[in-house]
Parts: sequence; structure tokens; C-alpha cells
Amino acid sequence: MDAIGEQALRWLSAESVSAEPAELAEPDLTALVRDYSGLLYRVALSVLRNPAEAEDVVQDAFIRVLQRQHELAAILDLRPWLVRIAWNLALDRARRVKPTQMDEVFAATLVATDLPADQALAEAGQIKQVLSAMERLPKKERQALLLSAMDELSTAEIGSVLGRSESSVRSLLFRARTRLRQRLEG
Amino acid sequence: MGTEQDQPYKAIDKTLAALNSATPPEGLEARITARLAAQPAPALTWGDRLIGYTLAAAWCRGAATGATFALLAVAAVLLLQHKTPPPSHVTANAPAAAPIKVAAISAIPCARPAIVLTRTPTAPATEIASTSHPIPSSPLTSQERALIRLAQTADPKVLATLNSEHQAQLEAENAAQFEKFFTPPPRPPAPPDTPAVNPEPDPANPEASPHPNPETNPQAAPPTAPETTPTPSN
Repeated sequence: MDAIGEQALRWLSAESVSAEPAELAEPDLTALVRDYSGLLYRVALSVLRNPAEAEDVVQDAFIRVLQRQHELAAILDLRPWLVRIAWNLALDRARRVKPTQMDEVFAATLVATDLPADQALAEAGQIKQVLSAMERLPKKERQALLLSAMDELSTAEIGSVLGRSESSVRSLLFRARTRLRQRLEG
Repeated sequence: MGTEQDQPYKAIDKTLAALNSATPPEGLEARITARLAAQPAPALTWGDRLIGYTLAAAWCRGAATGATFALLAVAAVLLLQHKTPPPSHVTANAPAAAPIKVAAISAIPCARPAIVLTRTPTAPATEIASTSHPIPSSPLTSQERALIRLAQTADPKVLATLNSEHQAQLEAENAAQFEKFFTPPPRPPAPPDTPAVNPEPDPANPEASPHPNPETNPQAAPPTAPETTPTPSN
């Protein structure tokens, strides 16, 4: 299961290695945790819909980073590299944990806490319905849609994580939204 | 109308925004840092990198594992074959479980019965493990069997003649006796006043003694010849 993460790590490090790695300074691992742990947690949570599982994924992702610490200086863009590690680890873990089992609780946690109870309940039901419809989307469209939820990630970075081009990601996002709307209307 | 069509999109955007706004649990960074601190620092050598890159694929690891097991199996078989001792004639001729009975039976009737000696065999494992047994001899030839039969039945004196030294000594004694018999004894020295006599017997009178005694046979005594010189003795 960890093989996908290893493969992705190798692929990304080969893709992101600069021509002159010696000139770059090795980033501090503590700074990486401070800057990217929140993003990685949300990425993992969008796939797993379980906070505890998402936190485990984030810790595993940073352990992988620690094991590849000597390669960090050669990586140009750290954010998609880290997101891809966490993304693949989350996909591996999602095979064991069924995200739909957590939809009701998870939807309740996503609702804003300052809303009235009846409104929060209605909003939680709506979020649960959308999450359930997203689960029935094709895999590539669903993945592109989940990653597009992260504001920090551009379309190019989503394409880098998914191994697709920017235009392909845009096409996937359009089809995913259209299909999801149709299912929500029906 | 437009608002109804935008309703699903709003729901989708609201859900995606909720996913984006999820807050990590308290102390996440501290727990990650503590777990990272507990991890040993990686110290990759060139050998580790080489092994890691060459054995990255699962099939490559499987092949290496299979090859290792095959080599171990071949080595074990070779080692077992090397340690197995060659079959000895002792184990081939005598069953290991049955006791060996040696009956000493004399050909001459005796007052007491024959002594039956029962010898328990030694441990078969010891005999198998011992590798100092001589190579089993080939069957005896007819000459060897005849020699054994002769040694069991012949007279010791006859057997003694088979000894080459003893035989050579006997031949030397025979030769000495032969020489002694046919060699004439040395003639005693004749007295100075005795006339020389022809030692050869007279063919006309073979019964005549070659050494006539003049005292007992005065007729046979030759005439005195004082001028004859005596024959030197040998």
C-alpha cells in the first residue's frame, strides 16, 4: 500500500529536481510542518472524511519527507510534492476505510458553528447529499473536484498531483460539476 | 429560474468550501514534530541507494528472494552429500540389528562342548561414521585359494620348505654334501724312503690295490729304486 506513495515520491523527485541542486538550501523540516501540515490535513480529510485517519496520513507523509530529507534541497516546488505524498497515502488508506460511513458525522463537523440548530441541520443534510453524490462520480472527476476545493492549489498544481495537464484538469472539473449538478437535481 | 439552476452549484461550492475550511485538530504540529523527532535520522550510504534503486520493483525483490532460496537449497544438498560417508563393507555384509555369533568349533572331539561366543555389535552409527575401513578385497584367485588350502592341511615341515631362505639353505647344504662326496680326500704325505708308486690302478689287474702293502704282499712290492725321487704331495 505504501508502494504508491513511494512511487509517487520517486516520480515527483525525479520531476522536480533542478539542474543545480547544490545551490539550493535544504529546507527546515519544522518549517515544512508549520507551513504545510494544515493543507495536508485538509487534503487527507477530503478523501478520508475521518479526522483521526487524516492526522495519521499527515504524520506518515512527514515521515516520508524525513526519509527523503537529503533530496529536499533539489525539489523546486515543495507544495505539490507534499500534497502528492499525502494524497497517495490517503488514497491507500481509503481502501480500508469507507468514507461514506462517516458522512453524517463528517457533514455535521463541516457546518459552521454559529448557525442556528435547524439551519445547521439543514446545511449538514445538504453537505451529506453532495458528498454522497460526489462518491458516485468517476474517479478522476471526483479527485479533481476534491483537490479543487483547496484554495492553495492552482489548476497546474492539481494537474501535477494527478499526473495530468492543466487543460485536462479543467475539463475534468467542468464535467464533474455538470454531472454532480445533474445528480443533485435528479 | 436562474436561482433554482444555481442551487446545486451553490450546494457544491458550499461543500467544497467546507472541506477547505476544515481546521486541523489542536496540537497537530506538535504531534507531528514529536513523531519526527522519535524517528531515527536517515543515513543513506551509496550501497543503500544502489540496493534501494535496483531492488525497488516488487518482481525484482521476488526474483532475488527466489534466487537466494534456490542457492541455499543447492548448498544444503551439496553439503549433505559431502557429509554422507561412503558405504562400507561392514555395513553391507552384516545386518546391524542382529547379533553376531561366533562359534569356535574344534575338529577334534573334546571333553567340553564348543564355546559359543556371542558378541553384541557396536553401534551402527559409529560404524557408519567411521571412514577408515579398508576397501573390500576382490575375490581370491585359484592360486590364492590353493595356497590357503595348503597352509591348512600340509605338514609344517613341508610348509617350511616354502620359505625361500630355508630353501636356499637346504640347497646350499646339498651342494656342500655333493662336493664333499665327490671331491677326493687329500693324500697324506708319503715318507721320504718310500718309493713313488703309480696311483693309477693297473687295468689288467683291477682288484689289485692301488696302495699295496709291501709287508702283507711281498710279491706285489715293486723293486726297490733308490734313485727314484718321491712325488710331492698335494
